[in-house]
Amino acid sequence: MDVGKVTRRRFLVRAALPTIAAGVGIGSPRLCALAQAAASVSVLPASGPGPMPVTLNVNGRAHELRIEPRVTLLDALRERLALTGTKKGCDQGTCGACTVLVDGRRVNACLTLAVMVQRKAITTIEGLADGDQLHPMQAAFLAHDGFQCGYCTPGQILSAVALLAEKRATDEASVREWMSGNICRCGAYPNIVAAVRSVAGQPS
Amino acid sequence: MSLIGRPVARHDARAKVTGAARYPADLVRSEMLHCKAIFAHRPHARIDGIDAARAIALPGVVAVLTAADVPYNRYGLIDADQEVLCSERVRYVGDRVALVVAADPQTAERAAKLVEVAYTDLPIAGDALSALEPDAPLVHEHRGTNVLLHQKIRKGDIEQAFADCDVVLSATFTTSWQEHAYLQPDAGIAYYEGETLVVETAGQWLHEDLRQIAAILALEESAVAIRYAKIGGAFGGREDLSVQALLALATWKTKRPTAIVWNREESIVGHHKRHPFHIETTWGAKRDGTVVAVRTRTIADGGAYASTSVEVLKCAAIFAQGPYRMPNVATDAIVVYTNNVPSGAFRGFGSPQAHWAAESMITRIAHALEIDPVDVRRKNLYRDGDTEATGNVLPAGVSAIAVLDRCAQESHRRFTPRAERHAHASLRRGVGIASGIKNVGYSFGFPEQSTATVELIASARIERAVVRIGAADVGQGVHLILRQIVAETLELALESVAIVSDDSAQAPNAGSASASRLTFMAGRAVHDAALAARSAWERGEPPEATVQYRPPATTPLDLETGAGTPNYCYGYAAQGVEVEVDVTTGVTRVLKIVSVHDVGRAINRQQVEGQIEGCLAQAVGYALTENFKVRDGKILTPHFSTYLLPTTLDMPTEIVPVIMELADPHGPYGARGMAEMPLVPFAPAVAAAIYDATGAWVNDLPMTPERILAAITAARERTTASAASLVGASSSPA
Amino acid sequence: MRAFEYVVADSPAAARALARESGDARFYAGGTTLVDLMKSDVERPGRVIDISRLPLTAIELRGDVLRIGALARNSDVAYDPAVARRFPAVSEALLSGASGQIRNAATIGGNLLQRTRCTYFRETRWRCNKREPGSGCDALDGFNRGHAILGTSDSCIATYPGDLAVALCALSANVIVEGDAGERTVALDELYVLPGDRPERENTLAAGELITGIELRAEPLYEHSHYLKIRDRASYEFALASVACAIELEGGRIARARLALGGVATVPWRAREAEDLLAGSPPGDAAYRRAADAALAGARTRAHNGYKVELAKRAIVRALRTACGGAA
Repeated sequence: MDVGKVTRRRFLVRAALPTIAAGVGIGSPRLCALAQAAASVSVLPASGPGPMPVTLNVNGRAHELRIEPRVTLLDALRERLALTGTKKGCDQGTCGACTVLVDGRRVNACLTLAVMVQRKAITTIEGLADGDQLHPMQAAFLAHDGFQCGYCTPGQILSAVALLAEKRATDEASVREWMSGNICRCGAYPNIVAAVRSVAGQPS
Repeated sequence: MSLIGRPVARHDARAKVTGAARYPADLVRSEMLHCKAIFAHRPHARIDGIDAARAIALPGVVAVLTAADVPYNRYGLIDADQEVLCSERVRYVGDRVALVVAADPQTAERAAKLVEVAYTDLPIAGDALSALEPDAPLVHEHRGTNVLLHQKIRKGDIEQAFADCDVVLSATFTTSWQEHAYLQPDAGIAYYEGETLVVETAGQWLHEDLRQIAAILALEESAVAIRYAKIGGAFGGREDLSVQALLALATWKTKRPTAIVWNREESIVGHHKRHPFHIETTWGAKRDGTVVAVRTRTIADGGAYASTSVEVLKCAAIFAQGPYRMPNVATDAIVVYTNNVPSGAFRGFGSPQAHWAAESMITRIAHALEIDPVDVRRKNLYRDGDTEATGNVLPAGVSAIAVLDRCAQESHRRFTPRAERHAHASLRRGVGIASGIKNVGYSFGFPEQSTATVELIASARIERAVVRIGAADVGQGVHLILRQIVAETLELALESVAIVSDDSAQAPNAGSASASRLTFMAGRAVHDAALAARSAWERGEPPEATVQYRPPATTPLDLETGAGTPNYCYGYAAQGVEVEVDVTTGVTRVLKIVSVHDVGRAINRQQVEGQIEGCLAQAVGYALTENFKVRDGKILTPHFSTYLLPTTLDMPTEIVPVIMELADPHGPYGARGMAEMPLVPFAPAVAAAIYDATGAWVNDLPMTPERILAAITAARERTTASAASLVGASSSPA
Repeated sequence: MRAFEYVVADSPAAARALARESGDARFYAGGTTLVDLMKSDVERPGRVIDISRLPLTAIELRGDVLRIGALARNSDVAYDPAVARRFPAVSEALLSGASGQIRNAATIGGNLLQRTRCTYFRETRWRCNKREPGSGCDALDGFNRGHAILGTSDSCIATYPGDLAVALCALSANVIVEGDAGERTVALDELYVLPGDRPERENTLAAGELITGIELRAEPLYEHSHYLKIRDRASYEFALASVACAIELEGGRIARARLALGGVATVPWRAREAEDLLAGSPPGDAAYRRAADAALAGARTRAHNGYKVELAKRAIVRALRTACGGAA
């Protein structure tokens, strides 16, 4: 691990802007002395804003990419890895079409920077089936006609797979609550819920 | 075993669950040029100049196209009043003024910020009512008026009829815009294949896209081909051109493959919406519940361009009195240009707005006369042989009463009994019922046809069939339906029927995926073509036939009287809903829905149920949560974070789709269209249920918690006031 | 989204140093707010500091004090047995927010500092004093149905959107902040700053300070705490009004009460006058309504949010009833 240099020069040339971040507040920089005092801490080297090496482990395969830090996981999957099964519906975390699994947990790929999920196991819709053998959730969506236009379907299926792993959906009401992050504008909801419940072994 | 009615699976189902299905944005390749449209983002302004020099100087920028680059800069579904790229004036925030074409999306985006457009802002016509004022700014100056259409319908003697009524009620209703919110934002690619300019996107009507794009580029239609990728929902929202013309222009200009992908905000700002309506209506009835007179004045906000406004408003006009026989009618349906986002087609096409008023009014008439709302409806509903307000006899197969009766039965059986609905102090249950009517297919003399080619592969017997028909599968599953019909007609296995449908050069014109028409129209075309091909084969001729199906003719309506034959087929619906209103907060949930539809014949029952359930999700949004807001022409809800689509949790657990099969005389196997009908009676059924729960009527859509709370408060104040006056009148001095 | 420099911090100290070094850095924990706002060009950091791998994810109950690491995920905290049993309002608030996906990504620290959903803040074409100080506020005379009625100013009426902070506010949580001088503890309701004439400043965090966790002291009355959220949609939507409360009964009277409001104020809103009125009163709607009136006494409404006054009052009464039912 490199010991990063927090140089006084860089500190001084950067404009101060009092702001609030997601997660942590950062006030105006205060005394230079503080920066110098902290200069002994170890940090990893900064990357970007240009392309940087990023390794994404998608569907069991490692992909070495050079992408800018600002590239979202969704765009990396679609535009760099040609995995277009993950859909962009809103790009703001409000529709769920881009749902993928990261280390088994469902997240919105549009709100996730690709660089943040390096070395984590990413599963997309393309990685769900075992060869020609559909994943049980895919088979259930097919059997229950759990879609119309199909655009939200990959996100619905991955969300449902994670939901069952979370073991929190015990009945119809909780399935619906926990699937509410996936919008289906065609309104195939009854069939989607039926598909999820059938895989969960819940009587419908 | 017959294939008709069976829930066989879609042939694209596997692709949809594995992620293999390709939607327009999935076709984009990095070596294509990428387009970025520059939106006006101002509601009304004169364009004083466009300086693209800095943008063009940016490495990677190939072109910045403006109005001067468009050969014929006029388009529109009905009235070509819209420019692909605006030349002198912008009329709404989503108008496009320039198109950047660059090597990659990032460069296109950066360049778009460097294009300098000088505007002079102009006063705006901000809403339909103010746009009607004499001194309102004109949206299209050369027209001399903002009125796009004023359709009148006159029947009987309305004044005398009201004078003879036992009860006369008036009310004013409003509705807001509704956003289609198809989950796949507008996108596509264009490229040359030999000499042919190919535009590959998502739409609702291949051959209409073709007609408009060829006209814009001043090309022969044979020089252009439209292809549809998988279509991620449409609902009427892809009827008008959005990105298609931009793509075609970019590739035609640069001779290189181009791509465009709109983000959600661009999609919401850049395409039309359901019309907001302002409806003033008066209903008069006899003591026995016979409604005899309806006067309606409807003013709709058509937005900046014509789109399909005139057709939507004519539909709203003929349904102003709902599905009821009415001897005296005075309807004025007016649609007005404003500097708002254009209004156009959306599932239901004017009928949901008309029913919002009509179905609310008939329930109020019933309450005023203390008659069951079902009985009042039954007394007034259309019957076979009845005459519409337009003077024609209804197309045969009027099933409104049978549908209502079935709905009343099912609702009664399933809904919470009256005595138990108010058991909880703050969570009040209520039930409501409403009827609906909606045309199937094009109306008012608009040319209506569907053409199909069926080619047989046969030796000793017919082994396989290939169906060619340019019908858009927007997710409703029409390709499966058409294959089922052909398989049934030719007694083939479903797997033996292939369909070619997504290329305007490979498949004939089916007409649009709209107006609930494809099962009926395209279904009939493939059915008839299949029969003709078999006859040809039986005669020893080449086993192929192309058939154009035309339904019974319709006619334009007389502008002053409304006289005419508006439609060749109607669908009839009735819905019962049970709601739970939290009277403390106004938050309302729909608990149960019974949705009854005469579909003539269900070709695929699973898909019909899917259409009912899916349409109901949009109906729930329309009634309760989808609150599209515009201020001074600027859209305040261009994201799903503020425009709230129903989630699965907003849908009732008990949705009962009831399919009745009272055959239509013309539809294939008796089928008639149904995909829009569940949106038609739903909102007024919910309003009636809210009234049942709370004693308060809501007149404005969507019925948000604060509107419901305000209505409850107003109703209580009225009750208190009338109780007080009653006490004052009857109490004797102590 | 604008380009930025990306750097991983492997310790809180490193994160702070990296932040201080750059005048326009942001920490990335779950990213659910930050990435969204970067896409819409509201947030424009020159440097993004990845703190997601810092060891700040523990949820530990030591004695009577529950400490939750700032990087614990919302979904993990919501289902933590100690949280659910000792602080049900916290669990309820977390589960009422966003979607399953977002709860998996969002962190406790980030959630506390999530920014307003005000349309005029989030769309750069409008004027907003919070986004661009001094530019004006289009919400004041715009469509302000969702805007705040408490703690507003002539510069800003943007609503604090979160759920968790409202529950924590009612339960007197502390926020643990690491700075150059070491760790300090700040009461949650002192973390936030009313907009006044500087709505761009939202909290009292100083330069280079990092939220490392929150602390909750378990008290018997918190076991009967409750979070009520009223919203337009059954799920996946922000509050029109929300209430976090806790009640302790003693000898048939309310001994102590805790009350905070969300969805109606510019910050998580602790209603101390209402708490004082409740203390000593017999439980019942009369007392609740008095408390509700007191809590909303300072409400200032605009054209479209007047309904929130009565809605919030009713929500308070209902939430207190529920909490009291649990406490009885």
